[in-house]
Amino acid sequence: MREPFQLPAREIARLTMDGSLKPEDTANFYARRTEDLHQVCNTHTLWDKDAVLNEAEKQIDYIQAARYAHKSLPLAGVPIAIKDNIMVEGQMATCGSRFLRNHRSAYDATVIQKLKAAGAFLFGRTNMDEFAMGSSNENSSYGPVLNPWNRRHVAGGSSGGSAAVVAADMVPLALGSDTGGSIRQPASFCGVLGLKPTYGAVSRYGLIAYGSSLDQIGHFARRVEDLALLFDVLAGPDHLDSTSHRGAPTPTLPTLAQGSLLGTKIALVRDFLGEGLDGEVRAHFEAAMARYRELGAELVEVNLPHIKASIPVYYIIATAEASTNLARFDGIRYGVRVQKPGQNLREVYTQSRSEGFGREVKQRIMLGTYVLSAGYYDAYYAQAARMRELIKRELNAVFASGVHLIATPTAPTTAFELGQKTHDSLAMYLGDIYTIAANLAGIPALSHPIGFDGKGLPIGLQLMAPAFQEATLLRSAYHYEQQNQPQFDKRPRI
Amino acid sequence: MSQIDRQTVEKIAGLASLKLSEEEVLYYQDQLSRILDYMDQLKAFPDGLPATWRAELEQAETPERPDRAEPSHVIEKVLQSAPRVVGTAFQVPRIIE
Repeated sequence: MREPFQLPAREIARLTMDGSLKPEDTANFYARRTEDLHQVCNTHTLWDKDAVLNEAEKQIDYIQAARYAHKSLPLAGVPIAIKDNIMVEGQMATCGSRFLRNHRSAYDATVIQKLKAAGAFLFGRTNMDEFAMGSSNENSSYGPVLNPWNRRHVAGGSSGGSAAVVAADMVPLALGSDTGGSIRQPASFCGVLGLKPTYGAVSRYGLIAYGSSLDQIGHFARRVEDLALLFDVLAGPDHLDSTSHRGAPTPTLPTLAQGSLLGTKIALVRDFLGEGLDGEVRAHFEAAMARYRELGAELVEVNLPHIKASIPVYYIIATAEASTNLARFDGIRYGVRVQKPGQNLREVYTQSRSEGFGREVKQRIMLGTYVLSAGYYDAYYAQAARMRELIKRELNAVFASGVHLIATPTAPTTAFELGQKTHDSLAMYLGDIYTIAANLAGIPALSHPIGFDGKGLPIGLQLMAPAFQEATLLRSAYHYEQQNQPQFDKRPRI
Repeated sequence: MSQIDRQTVEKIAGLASLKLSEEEVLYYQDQLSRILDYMDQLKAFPDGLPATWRAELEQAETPERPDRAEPSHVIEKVLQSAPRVVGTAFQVPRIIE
């Protein structure tokens, strides 16, 4: 019998289907590991070992039935952790907020239904910045996630828990969501892979909304093949999400190892390689690009004159959308109600929201309210919408000129120390510079490991591709991974 | 620098149904002023789009599905998360004074 530890998800599923790995052994092994480690890095908002194993038992029956029927399940017996803003029927979904501490999901998100149908085990709810607002996980009502590589440093955000559980081998896969880099940046900080699919490629039915024109469910893995495997399970049209893409998705796994990087044209963004970029990150990024060149890729440099507007554009559009999306959390329909005797409806809204929301969430709601308010709408929101279109057109023009991928560092620094930016919102926002454009343009992007800085903290590289070209994105990262395995295999000691 | 004054902070908090403590007013006035100052750089980027451009006109058509009644069976589950419930309804505070 094989040990499931550190096996790729694809291998776990294959061995489970052919009978050489018992799904109960996998469930027990990873449940024990999560039980031992989840408090060390504060990775979960909810971890209930017994409940997880009870649910796993039902999945084991389902997997056995599939085996007898000779039906293959792509994620048979694979444990996967779920970010706390994705609905799982009957489970709590707090979105990292004390305001939703009593919120139980009434239904499964579409991605959860797909995971269950694929034979996966749902393995706990991961910690996150409150309402997915943050880049360090320090905005969670449940306390920050600590970086498995160095617990004095942040894990990144907002999907910090999901990145850390994969980095610490508590699960081989985890779901997250990405509105401005919330999958890719923590993936980079924790030394794992993170994919933000094309806007509309994966259904968002059952995801608690933050910025609806930007939000996308995506995932974390340790191997490119696992990233591809899970994407193929999750992608596809969904009539319950009106922004879901109607066309059939192109499977990415079958073409992953095909061909080579010969003839692949990768653009570097000149505007991104100057001020603000840490020297060590830059050196590793350049070394990684040299390796892409050795593998046959052709590197070109491009100028994107509007790309530096990304941060103001994002923080205007995302907060404007958040101020409307979060209006539903009022203590009446959702959230903990705070009502003092004699208070009218309006006062109950205000009281509940003021006590329920944390500091950063209030700030973003107010910022969004301001940029949409009479007298400021044209200067901020309308202008940001125009700049977003110009950024999108610039990126599309680069791809139309024959470029297949755009490469950047994922973040300008490695994981910073806890508390370093908590009193300076703008400094925190500026760290999102490289990841935001993909959300503004709705294109797919991933982050993969490329090495470590002098302090032993991981560094990530981001690749962006044209809309619905996840196959190109994953294939390129796969070829890099095959030649640079040690960068992907190193594990934190915790 | 301070682009927004205390009254503005209190006004937008009111619009967002939030009540701020004195400490919060000062904190948000400082943070929001710095963020909005930074956002002012947007004006410096060239804008070659026609004045008539509107984001909503660029959107792909919203897909439609047949308008059919379907049972949802979620009332009890939804009410599990409601802060207060009367029978099968959300209980709300008095609306008409």
